Amino acid sequence: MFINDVQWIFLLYFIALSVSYILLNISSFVSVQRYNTSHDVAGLPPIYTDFEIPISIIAAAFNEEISICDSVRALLQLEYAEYEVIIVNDGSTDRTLELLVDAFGFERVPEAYRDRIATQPIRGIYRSTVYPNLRLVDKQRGLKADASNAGVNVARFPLVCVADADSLLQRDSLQRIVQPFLDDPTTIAVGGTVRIANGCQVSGGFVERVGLSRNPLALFQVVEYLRGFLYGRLGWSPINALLIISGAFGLFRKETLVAAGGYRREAIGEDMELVVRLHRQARLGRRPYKIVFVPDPICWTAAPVRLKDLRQQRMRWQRGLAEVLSMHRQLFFHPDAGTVGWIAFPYYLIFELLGPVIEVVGFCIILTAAWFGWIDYTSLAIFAFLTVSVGTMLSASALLLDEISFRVYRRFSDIIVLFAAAVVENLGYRQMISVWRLVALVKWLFGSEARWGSISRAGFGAYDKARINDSKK
Amino acid sequence: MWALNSITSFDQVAHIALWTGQISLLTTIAIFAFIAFLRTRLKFRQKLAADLINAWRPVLAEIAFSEKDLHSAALPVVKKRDRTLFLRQWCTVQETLSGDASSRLNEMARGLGLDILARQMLGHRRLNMRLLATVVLGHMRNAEAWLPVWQELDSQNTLLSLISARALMQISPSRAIPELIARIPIRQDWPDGRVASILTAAGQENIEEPLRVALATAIPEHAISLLKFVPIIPVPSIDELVSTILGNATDPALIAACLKVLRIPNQLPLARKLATHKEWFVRVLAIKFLGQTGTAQDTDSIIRALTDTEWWVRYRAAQALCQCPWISLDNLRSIQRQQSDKFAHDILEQVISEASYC
Repeated sequence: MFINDVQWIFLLYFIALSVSYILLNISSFVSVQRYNTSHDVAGLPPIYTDFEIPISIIAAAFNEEISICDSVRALLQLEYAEYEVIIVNDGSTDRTLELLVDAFGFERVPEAYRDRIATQPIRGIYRSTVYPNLRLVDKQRGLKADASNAGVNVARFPLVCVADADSLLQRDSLQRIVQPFLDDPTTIAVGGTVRIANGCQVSGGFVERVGLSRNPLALFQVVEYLRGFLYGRLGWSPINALLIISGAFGLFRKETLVAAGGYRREAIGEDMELVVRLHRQARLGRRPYKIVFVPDPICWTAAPVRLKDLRQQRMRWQRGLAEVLSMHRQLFFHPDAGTVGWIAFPYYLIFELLGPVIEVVGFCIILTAAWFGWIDYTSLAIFAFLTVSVGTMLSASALLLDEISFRVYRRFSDIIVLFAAAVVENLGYRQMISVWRLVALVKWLFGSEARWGSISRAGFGAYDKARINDSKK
Repeated sequence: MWALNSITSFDQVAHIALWTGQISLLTTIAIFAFIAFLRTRLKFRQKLAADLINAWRPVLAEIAFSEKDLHSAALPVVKKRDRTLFLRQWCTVQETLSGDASSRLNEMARGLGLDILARQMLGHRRLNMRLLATVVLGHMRNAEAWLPVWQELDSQNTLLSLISARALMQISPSRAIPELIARIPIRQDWPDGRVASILTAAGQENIEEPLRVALATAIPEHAISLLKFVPIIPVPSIDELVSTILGNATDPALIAACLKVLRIPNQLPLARKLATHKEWFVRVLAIKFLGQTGTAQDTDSIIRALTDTEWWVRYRAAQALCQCPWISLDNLRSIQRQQSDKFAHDILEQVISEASYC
């Protein structure tokens, strides 16, 4: 009887999860269809450049001596009418500051620092003598959230774009991500799609040719990112319930960000926490607002390819999710919380936060039952088949979304490889991630201290020489 | 759970799981097959497009840039299946042309009956076909299409309404601009940048009068929306009107909208009063205006603004002092030394430093 109950819970959970994903898929397909229609017209009046909203790009850097100069050069080459780049050196202990000063001719200036959001002390503000739109803030170590807040404090323009110093942006990424702000004045934040750069050909800080890594971990993450962004996030946007804007690249209305108090320094998932706080303040304050996701592939990031780094990243994400849901639990089924409190929060609680518990415990019980002969091996095989086939179908639908929208992977052989990865990731990889997430959740529940770690990456300079070759790592 | 168990045996659970798995597997295979089909279709379409471009590019270039009689030009046949593709190519070329070259392409399109085809496409059930038709008819300045295109101007679909606005402006700027200006305050979904592009393309002579009339009669809320577009037509009559609106305005948002675009100094006395307005966004614009058009007697007001509670007011005041032709760097340093307020001191230090880089 007990085993039968467990199987029922497992099956019902599975059905509910699949239905949620299918609904998100439908929402994403509608969004992509709208997107295609709007980009299909050759005669759309161009934006009159005097009316484009100027943007301050904030890139926080901590011990980024390998890649920082290439990253800044790439940021300076973006295509946009008016923008400034603010690099925040977050107490680096390597040569990051020294290299920046030498490469861009920074000189210290007596800038009147506006302490609108409290941050760690500022050591100095520098202005480039070569690039008038480039500034550098040198401050004491305070983690990324604190560094981003310092950047917001010195930002001049009404929109602030918070980017990772080690991310690769498309040249036209600002033009694409600013669109919702131009289309709707109630827009307060916009996120974009982040793709995996491993295996791509990179030159001068930009992705020149999209490719796939040979490293299986990187490949699985390509499939995960496709799922996560193309329907995991795009699907929430039409109902204004997008809870995450990746810290790697997001655009915010500065005054809203300041009024909300900026990034929370102590939060592990500070990017999600900020977005949820923006939702909470606007919803409970009954203010009209929009938080939008643009499906354009505008930012590329190097995925961790070592198990240790991947585990650290995923455990941090899970812990961040737990923190955010707990911190903003007031939103759960709050009468004013709308789609955020009534749909997104329960979804994130049941399927994202508690999902690993149900998956891992369910697997353990069924495997144990099979071992002791309480269920037969045929049933075990059926459940394994169900897991793999549903997982693969969901990944396949993300691939289809990409195919009908951006067609990022141009070679058909890449599609075949991604399909294969979508099947194989179910045979161990997803279970491994679930276990890590469960461990993170348990650790969070028992209050063990979380920490940010550094994930080893190569600089763009290294990528320039060849495709990102991570299989050797 | 007990209820479920009583209804269904374990075998039936496994049966449901098996069926779900099989359906998922079949769906995955179908998706893969569909992607393969899309890729094949894309390749086919790309080949068609390449053939069409190869056949038509030299013809379109010849028609656009040569003086030859169009009727004597041998035009390749546009097959029925290629019509949409051809219209897209034709629009892409049109976007890059103007004047005689554009007119000659229009004449060619009429010769091929594309105006009739585009008017038929206006009733198409697919939105992107209607959009394409509207763009084509706009480029062709097709007067017969005015009414159906005008009907789409009030479409709830932002894209369609904007494309229609542009097409109407191309068909008849003098008729279209009053229609467009009347809708600017109520179409909050129209991005300012796109509206500005349409107005700019219509030319100053077509905008001045409708905008002046609309501004003169607009309620404050509507005037704020319209004032944003004043900078694209630098004419004295509009400047005078903005000055009058500012003189009568009480709403801080309207005052700020006027100060943003005011280009004549006749409201200097009012701007001096506004430099101490209770709203910081009014003060900042008033100080900026004083810095641009004020006289030596405004120096004290600007210096006082250096101690404002709002950073932007202090920053603009410091910039205004830097820009004043009657204040030298030594004077600025002297003003800075006199400041007992740390914020005023720091902001002047910053702006002096910035000025040295310019």
